[in-house]
Amino acid sequence: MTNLPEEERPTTRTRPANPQPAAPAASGVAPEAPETAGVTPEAPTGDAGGSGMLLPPAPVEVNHLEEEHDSDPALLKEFPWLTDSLPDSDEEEASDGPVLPSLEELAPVGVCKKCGGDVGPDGYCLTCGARMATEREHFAEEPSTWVGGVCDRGLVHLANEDAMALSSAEAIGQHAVLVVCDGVSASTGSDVAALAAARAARDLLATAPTKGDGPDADEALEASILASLVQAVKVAGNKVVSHTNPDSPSPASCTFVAGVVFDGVLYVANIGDSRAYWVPDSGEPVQLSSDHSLAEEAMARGIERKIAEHAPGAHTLTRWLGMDAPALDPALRTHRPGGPGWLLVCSDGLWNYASEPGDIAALLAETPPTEAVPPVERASRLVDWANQQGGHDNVTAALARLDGPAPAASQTTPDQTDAA
Amino acid sequence: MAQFSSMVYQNEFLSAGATDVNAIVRVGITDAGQAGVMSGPAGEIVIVDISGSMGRTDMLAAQRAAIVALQEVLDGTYFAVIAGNHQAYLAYPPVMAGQGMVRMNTRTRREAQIAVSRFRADGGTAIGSWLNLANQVFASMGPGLQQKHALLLTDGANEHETVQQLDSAIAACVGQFQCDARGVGTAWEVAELRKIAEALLGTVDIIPAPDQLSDEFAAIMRKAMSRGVPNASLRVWVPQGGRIMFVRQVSPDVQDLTGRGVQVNPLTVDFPTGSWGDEERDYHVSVRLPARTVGQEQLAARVQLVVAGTPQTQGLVKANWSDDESLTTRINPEVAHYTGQTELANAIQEGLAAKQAGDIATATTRLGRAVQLAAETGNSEATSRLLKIVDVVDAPTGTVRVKRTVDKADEMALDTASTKTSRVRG
Repeated sequence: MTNLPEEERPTTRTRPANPQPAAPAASGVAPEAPETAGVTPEAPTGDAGGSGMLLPPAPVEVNHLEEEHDSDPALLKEFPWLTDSLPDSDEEEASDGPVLPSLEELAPVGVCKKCGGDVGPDGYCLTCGARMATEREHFAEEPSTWVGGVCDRGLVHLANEDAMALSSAEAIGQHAVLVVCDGVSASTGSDVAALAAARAARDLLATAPTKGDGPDADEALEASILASLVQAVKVAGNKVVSHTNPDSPSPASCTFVAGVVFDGVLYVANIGDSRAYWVPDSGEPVQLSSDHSLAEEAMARGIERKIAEHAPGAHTLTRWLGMDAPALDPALRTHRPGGPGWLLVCSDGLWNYASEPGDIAALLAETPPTEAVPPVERASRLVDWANQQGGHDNVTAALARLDGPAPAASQTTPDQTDAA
Repeated sequence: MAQFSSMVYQNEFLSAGATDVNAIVRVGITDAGQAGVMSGPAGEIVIVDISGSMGRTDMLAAQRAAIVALQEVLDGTYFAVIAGNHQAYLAYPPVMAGQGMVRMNTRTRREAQIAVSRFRADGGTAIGSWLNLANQVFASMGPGLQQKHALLLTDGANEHETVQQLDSAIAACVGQFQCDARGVGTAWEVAELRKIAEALLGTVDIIPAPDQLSDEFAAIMRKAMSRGVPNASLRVWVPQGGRIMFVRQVSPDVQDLTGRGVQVNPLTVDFPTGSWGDEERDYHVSVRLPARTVGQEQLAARVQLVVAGTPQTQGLVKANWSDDESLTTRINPEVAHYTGQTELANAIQEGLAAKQAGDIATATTRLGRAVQLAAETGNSEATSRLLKIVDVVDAPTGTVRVKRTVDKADEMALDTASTKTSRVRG
């Protein structure tokens, strides 16, 4: 780097990306000569008259103390070894210093959703500094063209304790599993437990049931699917328990809701207050799950929903999965859609802002079913909307698109729903 | 092998619409090793005032101290000795051409010490010329000399130079070598040596009596020799739209680094911090970001210590907008403490300046504030120095009376030590 004359030296200077420590002028480059040592004296005494010295790159006059005095006797007395004779000594060669280790080269680990810049290995964007959501904080699943869901941390909570697990066969309406578990934030490790529970339930339910022959085939099929849902709840509950430290003062716990689609029919099981809705393209939307919460109990006693759901303690669960859970007795429901529509399975992070089935239906209708927007994208819009409302909780939304019963079955079949 | 660490102390939670993020970043090095091992040999220059004002006692003490300092310089280190009055002289090595420094070994050490023993006090004081010579001597060694340090002693004010000449010399030396400056007695100007020390990443202090010189010089040189990590920079990245408001070292002493930044790229600035031994330094970093809405979370800054162009440790300063008042109204204790310590340093310096200008009213207010802050922040060293200048009526309210007669050495001691800070208690 060229030495600038003093008056041009700025306070900050731009350097190339890998700055080297400041060094004097490199050989081969002639800078301006700095001011000569030995400013013209205004004071008396002492004509210096030094010998010249070659100081690269340009020779500069340097003063030497001309007159050789004797050593001050006081110093010789204090440091008598000054006048000892010295053996000849060889100069030691310096060895190369150790090489410094350094931080990993900052290779980007992703693309920033906010500004499109690179995200550094520390998880923050290298341009705008936004934090990249980790996989656990925000993930999506799209197991087929007609099933998709998004699970998100929301804006306020520090961790995502919601969980989701989906599976789907390729043919629309043939077979799909949508599971959502909402970890209770007051409990420890519920984010891990909820995810394990959701996945275990999904894996069990993903095995397609087989429909037998005979006059009772439909009833038998329904019974078998509902039984597998009960089993899935047990399996999920066991997973939550196995992910909990038995000595923990607040063991992990979570809700559970699973929606199974088989051959165009919906089967729902739930524990706690995560929900499933059926939203037909035309007709009345309906909540298929049944909350186990104080708010629900209040509504059962006749208190209006708006009041019940905003009362203090409204969200207190009366049933849940976990070590200290009361009986694992899920609410069960079968529903036979009469026409096309959406199965929505979601956590309270969404329905807190749109509890009535009508509100949910209005939200979904913002993107008409005729628009070619895949379910995972629609679910993403629901999650974004919840975050726009404040994102006070983790939010999960999973959707399955059904086209309605096969035309041969009937022209307009009214929905049929059985509660178990 | 040097080990690097960093810690960030801050309250990351901002209320909606808030923009300013303050953090204390503590950077530490252990196993730094000796100077001159990590990246090539180190260079040391001892600069001794030989002006006529150095009476025999002072001159002897200075020679003694220089001899002792040379004793501490490790074999293999390049070194030279400069004697200065109204001119600067290369007292050792007595070279006629080529490089102006030689490697330390038993022979060169002895020769230099004998040269020092021959000094005679005579002439005036032009410290800029001493700095210029030191700069040239270092420069004569070429780019291979990485870690350069000078120890400068004077006893008087810079009477044989203009302010511009001294400032020019200082500016030419910025980034070239570090310099610790000491003044013996009370005839020198704290402000002049502080200018040098601040610009050249060194310390300034008073040595009230000449018999303390040797110990002080030995300590300085030992510290310089223990600085195994050369030329580290504090590198601060802020996101697009963000702005560095200031970067200050706040421990072990207050230094405003803000004006010394070198832009590395549009988002990143390097602040030179000189060489490090085994030590911890605390930095107060203040960043202004565009205000964001509740729920947004991002980095306000990445703060790294960079050696030889590579980051060795990194601290993340975060910003997290929240509507939870219990989170956003918290004050981080380290940030509060060092904000107080910085104010303490300013209060002392302003108080002393006012006193010297004869404005006792302002001096009383500012030094009173200093007493209050020193008590609040547990800086007992500052308190005991202040007590030599003021009588305290009530420390918690900062009510003081400036003493009628103050020992000049005590006043200068308070001045030079004004920037020293204490750590957070508990």
